[in-house]
Amino acid sequence: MRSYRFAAMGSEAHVLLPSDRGDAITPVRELFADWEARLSRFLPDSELSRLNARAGQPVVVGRVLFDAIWASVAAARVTDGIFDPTLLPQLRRIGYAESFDRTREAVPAVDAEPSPGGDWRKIVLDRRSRTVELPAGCAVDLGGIAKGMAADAALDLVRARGVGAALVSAGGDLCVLGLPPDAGAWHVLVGDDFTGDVVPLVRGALATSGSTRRAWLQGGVRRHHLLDPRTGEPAASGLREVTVAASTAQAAEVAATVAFALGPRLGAELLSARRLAGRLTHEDGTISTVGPWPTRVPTAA
Amino acid sequence: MTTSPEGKALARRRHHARLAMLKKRTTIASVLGFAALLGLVTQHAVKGASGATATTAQRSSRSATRATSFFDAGAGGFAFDEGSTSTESAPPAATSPPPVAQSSVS
Repeated sequence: MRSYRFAAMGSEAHVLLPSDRGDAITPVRELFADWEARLSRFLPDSELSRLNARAGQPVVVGRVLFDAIWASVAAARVTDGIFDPTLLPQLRRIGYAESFDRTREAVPAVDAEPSPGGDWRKIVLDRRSRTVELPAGCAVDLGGIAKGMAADAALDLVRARGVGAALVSAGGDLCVLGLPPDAGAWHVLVGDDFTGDVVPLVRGALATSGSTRRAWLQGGVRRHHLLDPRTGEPAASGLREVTVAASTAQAAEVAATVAFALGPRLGAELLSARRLAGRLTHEDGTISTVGPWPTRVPTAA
Repeated sequence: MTTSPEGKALARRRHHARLAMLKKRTTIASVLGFAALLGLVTQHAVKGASGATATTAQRSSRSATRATSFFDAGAGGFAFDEGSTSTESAPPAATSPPPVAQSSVS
């Protein structure tokens, strides 16, 4: 297999393709570039930024943006709003207004009180005309779910081109197609290099959400980007990170984000109820697993 | 053609039985019809009360249809290790090979 790495959607994309199918990387790169141009909240000219600027009025949008918003609203509904794509004002309030590589390590405190989410309930979608109407004052951030959807779409793309085995990762949201040559599974490191596990993924997708990477100080208080929509503040659930295995990167990303916000007990219950597998790293460093998560084995030296 | 008194009585009983059956069916149909009508009226009243949000609620219910299968999308599911399914975990190996990729915190 040949490995390709490139910057995409505010993180790094990693694609593994058969050595003789390097031709498939170009459309994958183009897909990621196209999705970022449409869905990034950090690009003022992106289709999403233009939609956010027109909250309160119906806007006809392209298929990619419409599908992403549709999926994010479906995710919000199925998780009773614990996944909430309309927390952008709350993210800005705590200092995450620019892409993370441009976000300062320390930002000043603000006087404004936190406000809970839930504006997704007032989004009006019309699939026939691909019209989106955000309620006034609402702003959408598709962050994680967009990366998961892009990984799924890229995998569909290489599959449609007749590639039999591939792995696509967008910032850690990864999905696989077929099996690598001479191996019975895709061996994927979950978590960091020191305490992580290597899991043998045969089919489906993995996504990890956590508070360890996108974190900063605001007025001396530690902040991170995973908000609890019930408070509008960074989730303090007792978890450090959550990895979920699901059929698609989109589903895995949503489940990981929601399980993180819910905490060890309710998060595990959610994953069990949805028949997903998960690995939960608690604040104290202990690790628990849910569902058919593989038994932990040491990595070969 | 003449009919015996027993024959007339039998015919009368059958006639009465058919009438009773018809009345029963009519009653059931009326009750069901009324229930359906009541349901429609109630739904209309709820929609009317929600006013401007009716469109959103209607749209959302379409989302909900999709949402029920949200985590099941992609019928293949997920699986670990060779031959295992989403409800089985892999038997532990002695050591795991070096990883080819990483699912890191996004």
